[in-house]
Amino acid sequence: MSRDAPTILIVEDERDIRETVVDAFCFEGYRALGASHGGEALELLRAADPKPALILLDLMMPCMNGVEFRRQQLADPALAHIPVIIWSADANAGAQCAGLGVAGYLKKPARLRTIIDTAQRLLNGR
Amino acid sequence: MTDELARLRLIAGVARGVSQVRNDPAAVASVLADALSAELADGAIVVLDRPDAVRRLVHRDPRARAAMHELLAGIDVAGLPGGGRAGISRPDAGGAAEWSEYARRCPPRAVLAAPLASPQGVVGAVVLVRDRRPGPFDDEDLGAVIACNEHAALALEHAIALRERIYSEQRLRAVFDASPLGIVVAGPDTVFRAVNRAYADMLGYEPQELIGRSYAVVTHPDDLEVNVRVTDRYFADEVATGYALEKRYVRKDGVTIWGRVTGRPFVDSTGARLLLAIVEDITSRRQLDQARRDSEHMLAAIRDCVTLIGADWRYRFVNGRAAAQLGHAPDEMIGRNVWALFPELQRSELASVMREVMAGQHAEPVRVEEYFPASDRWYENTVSRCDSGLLVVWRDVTERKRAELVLRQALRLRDEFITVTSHELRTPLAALVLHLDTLERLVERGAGTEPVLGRVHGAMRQAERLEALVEELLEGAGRRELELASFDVCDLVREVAERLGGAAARSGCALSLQLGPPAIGTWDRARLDRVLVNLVGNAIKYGPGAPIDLGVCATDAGVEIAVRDRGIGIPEGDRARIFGRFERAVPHSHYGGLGLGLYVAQQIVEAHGGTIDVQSAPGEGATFLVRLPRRSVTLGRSIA
Repeated sequence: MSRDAPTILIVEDERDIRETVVDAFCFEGYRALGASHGGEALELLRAADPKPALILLDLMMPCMNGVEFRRQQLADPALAHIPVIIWSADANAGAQCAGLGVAGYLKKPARLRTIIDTAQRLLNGR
Repeated sequence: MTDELARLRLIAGVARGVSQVRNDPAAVASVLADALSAELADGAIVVLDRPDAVRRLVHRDPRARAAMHELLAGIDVAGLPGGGRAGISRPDAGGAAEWSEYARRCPPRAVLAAPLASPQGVVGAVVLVRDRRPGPFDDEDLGAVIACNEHAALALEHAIALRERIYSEQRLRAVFDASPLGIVVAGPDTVFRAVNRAYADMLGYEPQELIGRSYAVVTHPDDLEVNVRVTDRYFADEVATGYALEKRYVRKDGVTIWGRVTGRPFVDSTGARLLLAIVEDITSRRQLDQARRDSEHMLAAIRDCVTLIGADWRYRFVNGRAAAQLGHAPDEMIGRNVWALFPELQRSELASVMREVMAGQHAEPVRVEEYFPASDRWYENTVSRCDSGLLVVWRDVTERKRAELVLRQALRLRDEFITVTSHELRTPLAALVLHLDTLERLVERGAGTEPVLGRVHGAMRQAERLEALVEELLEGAGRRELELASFDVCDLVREVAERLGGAAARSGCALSLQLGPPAIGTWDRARLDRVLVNLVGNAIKYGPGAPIDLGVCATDAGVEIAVRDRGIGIPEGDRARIFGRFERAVPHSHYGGLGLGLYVAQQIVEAHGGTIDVQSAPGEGATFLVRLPRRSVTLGRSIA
C-alpha cells in the first residue's frame, strides 16, 4: 500500500460484503475504508485527510440510507466533489438516485473483478 | 185661442203617436212637429241631437216652409231663439245668424221655444212660430208644449237605448265570429244554441252541423260524464261563477284533441239560463306536458342523480334520486339558489367546473370525480350546458373508489414486496459471490488453511441465510400441509432460544426463559419453530440492547407462548395491519426483512386453530401472545 495510493470508501451495512470488498481493494494496492451506514460514512469523510478519491455506496441501509447520505455529501462543499458509485440490489436504484449526479451504477450481486475494474476505470479517467 | 180640452187632446195624441214610432227618432220628430204646429202654431222646428241628428221643419205657408228648409236645415239647439231654452220670446229675440235671416224674411208674430228633455237629459229642442194665427203664445201653450216634449223625449230615450243595445250586440257578434277561440252557447239540455266558426273548425264541422245537437256528439266518451256533471252543477245553481275544465274532444275525422273549457252562466233576453263556453285547443300543450312528464318519469327511474340549474343558478328540475341524496324533497329545491342551499359546495372543484360550463368555456360535457368530506363519499359528476342553463348528473362511486384504493394498496404492497424480496435475496447472494471470488483468489495465491476456511464458513453462512429466506417465501405463499406430532413446547422454546442466543447477544439482547411444567400437545413442530424464530427474530431486530422474555404457560385448553421485547413498540393504528402479507410498521430501508414474518406466524397459528395477538405501546416494547389448543383440531389442514 503506497502512501499516495487513492483511498476508497465502502459504505455497506452487510458486514461480510463490506469487509470482503475492503480487503480486495487493499490487496489491489488501494487504501480502503468501510462504513456500515450513511451517518458513519459522513463522520469518516469529514475526519479523513486526505479525502477518499471514490465512494462505493449501498442504498438500503439502516440509520441513514444511501440517498440521504448522497444529499448530505453534496450539501457539504468539502465532500461534494468526491465521485460516487452506487452498488445496490435494488432494481430501481437509477430512479432513486435521479438528480444526485452519481458517477456509475453496479448491480448486486457483482463479481469482485467487476467492482475493482469499475473503480479503477473511474479513478484513472479523472 | 186653444181651450183646455184641446190641449189635453193634443198631449194625449202626441203621447199615443210617439209611442207607436218610438224606435224611429225621425218619426218621433215628425209626429211632434206636425201635432204642435197643427194645434198651436203655423210652423214648427224640431231639432234632435240624439240618437240621430234630425231636423223636422214644418209650416203651413209654402214660402215660409221653403225659407225654413233653405236656412234652418243645419241649425242646432244653441242656434234657436233663446238657445232652445223654454220660454215665450219676441220674434227677434236671440238665435244664430240663420234664424235672424229667417225672421227677417218671414217675420213671425210670436215665438215659443222648449227643450226636449227626459229624465236622462236634453236630446233636442222645439220652436213654434205664429205668423197668421192671431195673438201671442201664453203659459198654457208653453205648458202643453213641455208636456208633449216629455212624451217625445221618453220615446227618444227608448230609441237611444235600443240603438245602444243593437250596437253592443253587433259588437258581441263580431267577437263571436272572429274569435280564434271556440265559443259556444248551450242549454241545460246540452244542446248547442250557437257555435262559432273557430269552434266548428277546431272539430272539423260546419257551425250549422252542430247547432241543435248535443255537445255529447263532440265530447270524448270517457270525459262526457264529468263534463255533464260540471254543467249540471251550474244549472242546479251550485256554481255561481262559472267553471274551467280540460276535456278531450273527438273531431269529425275521429282524431282526439284536448280542449280547455271556460264556462260562464248567463240569462238571455227571454229569461232562459244558458251557458257561454270558450274553448281553447290545448292539444299541443298537452302533448308537450306529456312529453315532459315522460322525461320526468325516465329521469326518476334512472340510477343517476339529475338536476337542471337555470342561468340564475336556481334549480329548475331535480329528479327524485338527486333530491333524496341531497336530503330534500324535489319541490322544496325547485326555484332555490344552488349556492344558498348548499354553501359548502362553493369551494369544490365541481363548483369551479359548473361556473366554467355556465360561462360557456366548455363545448363538451365535463366530468369531475370528487371526494366530499362532509358525506365521506366519492361522486362522479358530469356537467353540461343546455338551453336553460346547466345539466348536472352525478352518481355515487364511493364503492368503486374504495375498491380502487384497496387495489392500489395491494399493488403498492406487491411492488414493495418485490423490491424488498429482490434486495433480501440479492444481498446474501452478493456476499456469497464475494466469498467465493475471494476464496478463488486465496487458493490461487496458495494461502493457508485459516483464511480459506474463513471464506468457506462465510459462504456457508450466506447459503443458510438464503435457504431461510426461501423457506419464508414458501411459507408466505402458503399451500403446505401441517405435519402433526406430539411434543413438549417448552423443549421447542428452549431449542429456539439456544439457536438464536448468538444473534441476540450480538444485538445486546439477553434472552430469558420462564418455562412452566411440560406443555405437551399435538402440533407441527417445524412450523411452530418458524413462528418462534420469526417472533424472537423481530424482538431482536426491533429491541436491540434490551432483554427479551420467552414464556410458556400450560392452560386447561392448551398452551400460551409469550415473546416480550422492550423495543420501539407498535403504534395502535398499525397493530392489526402488521399481520398482513408484505406489511411492516416501519420502513424496510431501516429494518430489512421480507415483511412476511408475522403474516406467516399468524397463518401457522391459525392453521392449528389458535390465535396470535399483540400488546404494545410506542417506545415500550411489544408482547406477542400465541394461544394454541392442546390438540390441533385442524388435522391435515393446509395453510393458505
